[in-house]
Amino acid sequence: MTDTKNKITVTIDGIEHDALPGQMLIELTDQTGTYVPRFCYHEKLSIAANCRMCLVEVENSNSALPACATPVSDGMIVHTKSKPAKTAQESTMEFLLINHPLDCPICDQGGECELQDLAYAYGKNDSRFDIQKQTKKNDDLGPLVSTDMTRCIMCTRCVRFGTEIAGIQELGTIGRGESSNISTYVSKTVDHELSGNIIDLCPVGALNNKPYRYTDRTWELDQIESISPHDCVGTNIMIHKKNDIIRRIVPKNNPDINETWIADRDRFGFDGIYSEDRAISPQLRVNSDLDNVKVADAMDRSVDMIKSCSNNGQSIGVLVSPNLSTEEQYLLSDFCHQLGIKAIDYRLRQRDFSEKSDRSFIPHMNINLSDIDSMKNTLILGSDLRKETPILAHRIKKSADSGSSIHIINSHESEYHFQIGQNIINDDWVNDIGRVLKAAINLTKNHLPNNIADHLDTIDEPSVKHEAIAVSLCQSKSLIIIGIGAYSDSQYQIIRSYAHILSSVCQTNLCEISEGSNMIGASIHGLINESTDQTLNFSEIIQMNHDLLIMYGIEPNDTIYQAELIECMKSTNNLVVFTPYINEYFNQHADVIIPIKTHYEGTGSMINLELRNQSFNHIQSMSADEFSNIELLMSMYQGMGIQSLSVSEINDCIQKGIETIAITAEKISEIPDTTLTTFLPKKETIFNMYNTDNVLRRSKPLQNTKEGLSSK
Amino acid sequence: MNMLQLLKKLSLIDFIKGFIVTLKAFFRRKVTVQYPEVKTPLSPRFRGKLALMRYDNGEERCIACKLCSAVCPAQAITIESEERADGSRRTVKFEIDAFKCIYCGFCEEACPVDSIVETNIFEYHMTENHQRIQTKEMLLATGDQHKDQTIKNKKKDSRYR
Repeated sequence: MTDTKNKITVTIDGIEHDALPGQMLIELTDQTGTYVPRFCYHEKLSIAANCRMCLVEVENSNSALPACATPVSDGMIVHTKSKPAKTAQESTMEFLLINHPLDCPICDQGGECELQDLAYAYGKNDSRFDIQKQTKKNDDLGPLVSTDMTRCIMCTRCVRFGTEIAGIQELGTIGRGESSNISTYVSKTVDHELSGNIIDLCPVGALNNKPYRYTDRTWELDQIESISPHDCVGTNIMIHKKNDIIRRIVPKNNPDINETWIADRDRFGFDGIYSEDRAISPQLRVNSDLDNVKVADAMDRSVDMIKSCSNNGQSIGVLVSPNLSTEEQYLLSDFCHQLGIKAIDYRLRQRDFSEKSDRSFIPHMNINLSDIDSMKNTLILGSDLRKETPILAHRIKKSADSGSSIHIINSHESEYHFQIGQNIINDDWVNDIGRVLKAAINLTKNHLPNNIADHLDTIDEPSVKHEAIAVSLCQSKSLIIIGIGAYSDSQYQIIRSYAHILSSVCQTNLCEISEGSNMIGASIHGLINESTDQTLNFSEIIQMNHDLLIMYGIEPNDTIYQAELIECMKSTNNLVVFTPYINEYFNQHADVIIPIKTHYEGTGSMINLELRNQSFNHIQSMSADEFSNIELLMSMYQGMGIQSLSVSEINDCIQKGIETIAITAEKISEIPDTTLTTFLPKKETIFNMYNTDNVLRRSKPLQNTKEGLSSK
Repeated sequence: MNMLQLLKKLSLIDFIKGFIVTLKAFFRRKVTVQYPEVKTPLSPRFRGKLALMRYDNGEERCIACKLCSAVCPAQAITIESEERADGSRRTVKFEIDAFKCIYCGFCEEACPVDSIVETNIFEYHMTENHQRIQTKEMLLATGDQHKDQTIKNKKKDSRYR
């Protein structure tokens, strides 16, 4: 803590300001609203001071000093707009412009270029250099980032991003002086899951958005705030659209969630909504052929099917995507509850359903995302963290860089960009978690209920490694993360209860990464409607023969039970599919296909893993014959003659639901019976970050990356 | 007073004054021409129908920077661009709505590559509403057709620019 004695006073342009010792001058000028021009300085990156654009005049100093690398001192008098400061800045600009090409008219950065803006303010009208300008070679950085290295002003933001944020140095500076160049060391593509951020970091047009290349100028685009629908973090994004078509996506700064970064799939994923296999017209199966019909006809037919099945007591199964907006999920779940349909589920990647009271503790995180930075000890269980939630992984990296110890227990090796303490990779990794728990109990001398004590007796004694993890977790500020790898494991319930008990024993925070972007929103229905005890789970639903199966927003590829689901689709008598996309399985088996909108075309809200309720906006105005997803669902209610809540009432219910979880969330304190086995054999599931939902699967730029190609 | 007015009326002096004006105009040099057989001379600065120019090697000049559409006060220009197979930035759609265009010449001034120019054509017409949209092909064809005259005009005016 800094007490008032440590406060110092700095005079900037004649106005006195309080400053903290050790603060850099540019931080103070940014705080006080005095603009100092800069290229290489970025608040999230280390200080390089190599562009020299932020030179300011400091009294009692021989020469102008770079504001980004000059710490404030008491009584400092700074002039940012005096003649010497201005001369220094103008001279720097003149040097920067020597080799910068005059291709602004064809540069995609034109209009949002820091160099262009500052050249207006600090540039000279004509150049004093008539020698040939330098040109540089362009590297191929893969399908996401385009390069025009001649435009590079060597600010090295991209290089520092690689070492400090991404953790893998993909780009580097080669050569010296005038011949220095930014390049990949051994010509390879940029494959990091956050690599798209170098597009925003680059102050000039040297690194740019490849799919967007040469399509639009910035001033033509409209900007809409939204939420990325590709993982449970709820990354804030800005959608840039022109004529109701998304042209690109850029990050929206939110210090509580994603800071200024977004993952590549948030940036380039939207391309999937312009895929050729979008479902455009509703279709009905007539004599084994699918015919295009009107929406009303398709809805009537599906309502008829639901009516006849529910009146005759025949079985209806409903499979719902965990990526839907909370409003849609609420309407679907309420619809099923009112009709007494018990077979409804959204857990497409969960393998172990042995715990019936599974929904009592909704997978979430009991701290805020920004708190992760300050965690001192973290244990990651069964997670390809970088692929599952790149933004969360970045937070973990930040905590690791500030000295916290990260331990990993997993079934397979995966790549991490931070220092790892204990790394236990083992086929029998579930047992290892138990051994850590045992070590923690030995350490804390906690008294446990007999059943847990009996269970722990069957586990091997902890080794040094396990004890080290336990010791580390028992310190303050520790966190246990359960990943999607664990979620999809055949012993998920055991892993989960081990983690919960470990968390209670060591008094750590707990974070459960959930599949899809809004699984928590889907889970909340379990709290709102109390009658969830007898509901069937996903694996039970797809094993049954239904008279009617309704699939809402999911494809067989979305689930780990792909073959079983296809089999179920085949065997069901009537298949009603609400889908944004057509695929071969729907063409073969569906009786009714009703097109729905994707996230990018609708409105609604989503709840991220820290229980933050965020709303997103539609990007397009709809024509009269189009229906939003909510309107479709409401018309289903009308067709069945049952009452539905209005959207505002639903939002109230959701808000109540969130508050209820936040209050009542009790950790699991029992270990489930290990004799309960799941019907599906254990399969190795490789988590592919560009294959998690139907939009990403169809995004051309992402599918051309190394990760995208690896799934083919 | 009344007598004076009566005399003026009777002598028809106002009529004669009027006829003198007419007579003078009758012998004065004529300002009108027999359009369309005869045409008035045009200033090299005359702002007529828009056209797109090419380089001497046949390559279109336009690089799709969209500055003309940004500066156009009537928003008459619609451009869509993409990366051509050879990696250069080119338009895929360049349309001018001739009804919207107010012939202000801002687009010509904004163009960094002297692609969009105003020719001295002022006589053109259309019979259907949709023909007011001039496509890229039409604009390039206009440019090709009036290339020599346009270049001559621009050269004449260049020292005042």
